[in-house]
Amino acid sequence: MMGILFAVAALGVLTFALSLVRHTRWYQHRQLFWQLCRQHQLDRSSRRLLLQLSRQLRLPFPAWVFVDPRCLAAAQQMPTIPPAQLLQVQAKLFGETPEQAAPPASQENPQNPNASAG
Amino acid sequence: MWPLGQGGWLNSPYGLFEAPSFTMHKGLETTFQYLTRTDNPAAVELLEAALDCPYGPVRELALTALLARPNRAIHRRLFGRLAEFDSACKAIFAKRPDRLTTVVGEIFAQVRPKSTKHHGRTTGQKKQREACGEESPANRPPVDGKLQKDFVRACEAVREFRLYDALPSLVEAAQNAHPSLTALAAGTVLEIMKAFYAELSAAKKCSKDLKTLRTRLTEVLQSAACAYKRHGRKELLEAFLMVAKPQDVVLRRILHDRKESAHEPLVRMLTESDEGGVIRLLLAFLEDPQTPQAALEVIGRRTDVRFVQIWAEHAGYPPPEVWKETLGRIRYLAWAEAGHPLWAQLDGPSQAGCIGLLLGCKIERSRVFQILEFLLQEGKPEGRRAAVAALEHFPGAKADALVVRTLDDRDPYVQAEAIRQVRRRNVPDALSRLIRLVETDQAPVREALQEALPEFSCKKFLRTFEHLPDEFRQTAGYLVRKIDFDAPAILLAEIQSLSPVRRRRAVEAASAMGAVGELETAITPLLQDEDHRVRIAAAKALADSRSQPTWEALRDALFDRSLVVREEAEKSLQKITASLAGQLEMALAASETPSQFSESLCDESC
Repeated sequence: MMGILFAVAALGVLTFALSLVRHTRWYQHRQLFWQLCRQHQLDRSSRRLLLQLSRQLRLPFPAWVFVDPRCLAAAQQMPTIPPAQLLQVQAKLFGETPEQAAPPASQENPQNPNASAG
Repeated sequence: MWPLGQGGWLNSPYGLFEAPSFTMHKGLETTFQYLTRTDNPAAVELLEAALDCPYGPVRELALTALLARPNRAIHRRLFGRLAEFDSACKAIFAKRPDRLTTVVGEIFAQVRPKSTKHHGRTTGQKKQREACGEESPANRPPVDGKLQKDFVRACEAVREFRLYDALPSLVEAAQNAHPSLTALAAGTVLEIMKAFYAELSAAKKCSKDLKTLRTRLTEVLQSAACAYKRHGRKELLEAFLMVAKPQDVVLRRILHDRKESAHEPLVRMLTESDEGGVIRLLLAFLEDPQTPQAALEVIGRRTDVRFVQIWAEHAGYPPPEVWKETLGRIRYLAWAEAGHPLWAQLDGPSQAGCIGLLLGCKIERSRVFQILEFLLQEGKPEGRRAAVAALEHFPGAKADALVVRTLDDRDPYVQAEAIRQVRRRNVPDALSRLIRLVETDQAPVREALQEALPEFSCKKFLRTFEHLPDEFRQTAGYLVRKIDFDAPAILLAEIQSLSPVRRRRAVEAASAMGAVGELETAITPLLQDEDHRVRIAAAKALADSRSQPTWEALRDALFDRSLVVREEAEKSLQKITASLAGQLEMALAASETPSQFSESLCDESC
């Protein structure tokens, strides 16, 4: 009996904790990343690549890679990123190669999209 | 270069997206479509961060997505960053004025005193507070700095994006906000109404949307005009006048009731404003015979060139029939004076229009006559022409004398108008005065003479030709030739007619009119006419001929079967010979050497 009660209480705490987590900014941004991956029908390896990219570039939002083509351009310099797959993802998200997609004159750091917001 | 793809965001599930001006890759489209419709609050954060992306198309897509989200807080934040956006982004804002309208409306509402505070207050309490001065805007606590800045920016946004829908809250703010802000609000109302009026007047055909908007704006400004006593803002009155129609009930009430607090400032505004909308309203009053007298007095008092010029241009000469009744109610025009400085500033067509207005209004006739006399001396060409035409409405010796004087005017159009009037006026010696003018080369004068002297038409001359004494035929014929432009054509038709009587008469008339030279080629074949009387007339008339083929034809006529024709041909040839000999002598006398003579002969033959 005690065991059942304990299990129910643990389940309740877990649900409550989950609902709290769901309201965190961190969770919402990750959620948005996965939702966008689903929208673009990216396979598991592409998702992993983008996540890795967002970590390595230390982007404030993981979904930023979907918005700013400079992120994929920057990924070309990274030895850990397989170029063929990068090209595939880039073509799916932005349509062209990362060099072409990246703004030619832009020298801004894609790691900090808020930098120019001041 | 940014990746260019196909299609736009037309398939947005919210239906809020419009295709951007550039084409975008499908992948990016999918991203922003999703960011627009997702409930995930992180999307807003991402989109707001994308507004700072150095890449224009991304910024624009992000802004479009943010504006598509029905969230006031987002719009308020976007409004806060309005100054940072470039023209492309501002164009996106301009496509969604409703978003900004809500935000600026909130700001305008914030600067107003809280109406809830007054709930439940009795009239007595209200009066008591008013007496203490607590209700007056000046006694309100000052607006805090941030709100004041927001207010200024909101007014700028209203002007920049023409947020007409924000007008109700802006007008409310102009009436009730803190005195430090009312001037700006009222000025913005006026400016936006000027922009609206420009839009209205630029539209070739007023669309239903514009009409509805005008009605709504007018209603808002009506209430502001009614509350003039409370706010005292003249800008609101002027803005009201710019969109009001002459049938507007509030406008009419204010104009009719001289005790109304808004009456005097409104009349002053109507008198002084040179805004197109106000001038339009004043002119529209003229179409209504029931127009308030105050409006007509304003029209009569205005002496500014812009107003009078527009009025005169609309009127033309004569003024439109629809104005007739209302113009008849105007008894005073400030510029209706000979020598008024306004006349010098008006161009010719405006002077003409003003004359039409003077004739339409109920102004002393002697005064109008003086103006016409003045304009005939000092006016511009169109004004002078209208002035002499207007003399038609002025009988009497003075006007007669003026018309006779104008017969010798330097402007042929003025002269022509005087010619048309002079016989109708029964001026002594009118006919001889007109006959003196027949030598003119001016087409308008000749046309006028043709109208004024109908008895000197070619047709009439031909009809009466047989009954005219010989000595009078030449004189009358000469006058007909000078006055009737169609004479050669009529004579030609007669010469070619089937009736020998008409052919002969036409030849004789041409001879009397001195028109043989012009019709020589048509008359010469008549030397072979079957009717001998026609041949006689032709042989006689061709004495004035100048070409060698005609002389040869005359020479052939010396062998005509009719003795009379032969005699007339001989006489004509003798006449021609004598004339040529005379010319030869004159030419010889004029040239000093034979070589010069031959040169002059060459010139003549050329």
